[in-house]
Amino acid sequence: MFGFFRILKKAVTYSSRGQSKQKQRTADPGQPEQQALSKSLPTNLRQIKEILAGCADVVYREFVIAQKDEIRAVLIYVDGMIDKGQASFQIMKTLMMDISMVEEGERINPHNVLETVVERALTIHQLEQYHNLPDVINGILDGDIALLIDGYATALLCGARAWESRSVEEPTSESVVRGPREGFVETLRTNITQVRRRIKSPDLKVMMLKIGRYTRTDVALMYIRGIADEKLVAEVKSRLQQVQVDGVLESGYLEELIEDRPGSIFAQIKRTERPDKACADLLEGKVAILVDGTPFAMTVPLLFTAELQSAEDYYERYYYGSAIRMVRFLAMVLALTLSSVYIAIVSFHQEMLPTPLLIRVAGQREAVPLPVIMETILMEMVFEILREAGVRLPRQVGQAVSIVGGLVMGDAAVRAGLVAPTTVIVVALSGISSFAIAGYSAAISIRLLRFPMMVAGGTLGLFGVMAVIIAIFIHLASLRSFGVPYLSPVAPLTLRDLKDATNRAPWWAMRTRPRVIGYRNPQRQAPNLKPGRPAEQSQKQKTASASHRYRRQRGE
Amino acid sequence: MSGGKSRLSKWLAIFLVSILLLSQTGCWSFRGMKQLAIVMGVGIDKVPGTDEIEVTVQIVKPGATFVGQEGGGLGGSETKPVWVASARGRTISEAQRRLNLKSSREIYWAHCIFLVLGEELARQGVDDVLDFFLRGPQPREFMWIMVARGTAKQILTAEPELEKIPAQAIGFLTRSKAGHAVMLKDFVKQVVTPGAGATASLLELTTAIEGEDQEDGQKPKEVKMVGVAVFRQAKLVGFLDETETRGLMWLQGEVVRGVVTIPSPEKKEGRISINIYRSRTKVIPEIHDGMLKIKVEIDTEGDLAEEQGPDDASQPAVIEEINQYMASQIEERCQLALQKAQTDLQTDVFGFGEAVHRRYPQEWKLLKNRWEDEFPKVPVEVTVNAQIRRTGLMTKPIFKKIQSLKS
Repeated sequence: MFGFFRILKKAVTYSSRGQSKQKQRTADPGQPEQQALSKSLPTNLRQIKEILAGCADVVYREFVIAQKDEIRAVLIYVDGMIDKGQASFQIMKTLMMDISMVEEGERINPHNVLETVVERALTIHQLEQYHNLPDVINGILDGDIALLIDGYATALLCGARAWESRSVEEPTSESVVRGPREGFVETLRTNITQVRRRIKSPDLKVMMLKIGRYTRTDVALMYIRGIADEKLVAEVKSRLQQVQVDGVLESGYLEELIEDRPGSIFAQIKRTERPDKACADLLEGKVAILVDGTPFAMTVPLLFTAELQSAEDYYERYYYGSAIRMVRFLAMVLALTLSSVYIAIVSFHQEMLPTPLLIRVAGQREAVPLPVIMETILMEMVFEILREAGVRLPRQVGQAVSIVGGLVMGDAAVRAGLVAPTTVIVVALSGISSFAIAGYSAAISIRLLRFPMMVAGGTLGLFGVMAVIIAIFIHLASLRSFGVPYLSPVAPLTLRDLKDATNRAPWWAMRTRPRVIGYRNPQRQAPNLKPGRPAEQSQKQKTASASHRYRRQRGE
Repeated sequence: MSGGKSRLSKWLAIFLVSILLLSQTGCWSFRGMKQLAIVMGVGIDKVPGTDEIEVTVQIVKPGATFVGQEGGGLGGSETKPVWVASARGRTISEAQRRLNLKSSREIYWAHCIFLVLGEELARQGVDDVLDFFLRGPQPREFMWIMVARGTAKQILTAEPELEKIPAQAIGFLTRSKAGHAVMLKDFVKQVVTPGAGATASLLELTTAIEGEDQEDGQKPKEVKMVGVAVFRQAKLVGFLDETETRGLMWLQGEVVRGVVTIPSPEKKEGRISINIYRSRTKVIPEIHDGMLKIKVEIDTEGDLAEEQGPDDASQPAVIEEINQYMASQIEERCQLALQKAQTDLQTDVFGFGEAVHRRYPQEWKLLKNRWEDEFPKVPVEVTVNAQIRRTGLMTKPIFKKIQSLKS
């Protein structure tokens, strides 16, 4: 299986080698062969039409520039991907009618028409010249308007991209009470802008890549120079460049192709729908990968603690932020272990229950036909089915599913004596707990791991539960996300970084960036930022002088 | 190709092997809840005329305790929540095996609350039967050990009404700290300590409403802690009654809550009751010129709970007087217990020997072997310091005016 991929990779690298290094839009195989444009418009047009044969959405609009010399030209674009107003007014109207105003000084002739058009006539802000046929084809398919003029082996690509897209909306998967309501959308340009608008620094760098032989998806790699580790940036870039696939329809495709340990059940790349979260990661020294068509930004490296953090932790008061993180941690532990520990105790370790509880649980179990392990696993599966059904259905119907499934069925199952009420409580609690984990991908992993845990708990008791937990820990400790230990700052222990792991330190105490990520530029803010009462003059002065010193060091 | 294939087959092999292993073990220590006969209380009696013992267990019926559950179908029905069964055998394990012959479920000891010993068995010695409860992993050393006046069986067949499960009612008797209660682990520790005597609470059948007994055709079905059974070398030697038990508890520093009633200082026929809420006992052995003396210092604090007399508790002098009465009352109880232990039973139930051991380890080596003879002769000095902290919601008795009008 893996051998096949290796052969494929070799073939791909071979075929892409030896191509000209001049400005070109793509080096992907499967694309039209590199070929220069001809000076003759009919030849060019014929060739383009040949390549784009059968593409009914491509529009060819032939017209004449400057009637006296009869210079023929053609506009080629994909219908629906351009702004038709611009095509009509800024290009065609200008070239067919307004160009006479330019003509006053010097007559337009076949020898100077290109220069005149580019420099004086076309009121299009984004204009590029290409000389190769494939580039032109790719430009057209990307949504540019190609303008070809007879007598020139040059195509002008006018940027007038406009297509239907979703407007910026509130992120649905990571909603907050306090915090920005903007989420990423499917358009890459909008997403990059959202990040740029928050980090208005020349050090915010954006690197553009195209991935996907057929989809040629735009991928943006963003980082802040001076904070992010250059080696990390280079690593991310080289991993992205190695990806040779047909298409990237969602960032998930890329995620699986660039992570450190593809066999792991845990995600090693963070995904967020929130621009503010992506920016916070960039400021920590992480690298963001934005993929066109995906309303999620991926940031690397991912630390496991980040899965328990929500954007709101940083916006609300730090007491609440810290407390709610503990709750999430507890929820994660419950989601992972509750059902399996319940099975283990009820089947093996009855002595661990307090006597009244034991009698109660035993009383409930009297009427129940199935052994507890079967019962719990079945109920967990039912819960997963309900959850899945609720997610896939329209929102209104989804609620009905949870009511009918959860309330009616659960209650009926208990009344019928098929399921013990304790089991229902345990399954419901562990299910609800899995929703309280902030990171969606971590929640999925933990929900999945629950099942081997339950089997171990039902066959080996608490011993089995412990064995699986230890196995999970060993795996987590060995895991790396782009070379960074997954369990950092807990293992390896970095005391300084615990300030933002299980609790959230107040902002004035967040002096340094996480050591494993932002070690190149560890100082995040000036020292002594802790505010005080105005009366504390001496403290104030100390703060002022300290921040002054800090600014001086930075050369500001 | 081949590398990937072998890796795949390696994982497949590991997976299959682990599946097979898990299924082959057959969950060897699996115990379904429905297979458990949860023993809540156990009683052991001597079978007269044989060398056999009779083990009586009270096993909870979980289904029957689950009243009020819809669909359970048991709500309201008069099913007894426990099943009491007994079997004979030369050892407890033998009896347990015979019990298993008539019990559809496996006898499960981990939740046993108490162990009650019949009087006859206790007199002959309990060390043989205790081995089972210490050796096995299931029975806990935290179970209460008790002695029944008469047979243990009748205690287990009693039906105290306050709790759903009779064994729980008996176990919970210890919760209020009203009587002297001993855990199995402490009892065993006392038994194996040279020279020391061991104690266990003494149980008796009684009726809920006092004085109303067999004449009404009512079998006494409540259980009461009536005192303390005293053991010497694992053999029952005698009993302490209720007052002596209080004295024992004071001397052992066990009284946490209790009521002390004293005569009213001003008007002798009235009584004052004081609620003890804190007490501390210090046992200080002293050796002077080769003579051993034991000093017991008791510090206690209490609140005024009830006053029948006309005393004005807002007066410091009155408080002082009450304190003294209280102290002498406590001391009197201690003396009663001391007298009983030293002269009648000649058994050190107070753990004085251990105190001497701790303070004078060298001397104890000599004293250890003749402590049983020495203990009855040791002078014990009890000093009580009692304090009233609060007088309740009233300071002056409200009926004082009426009484002064009468006179």
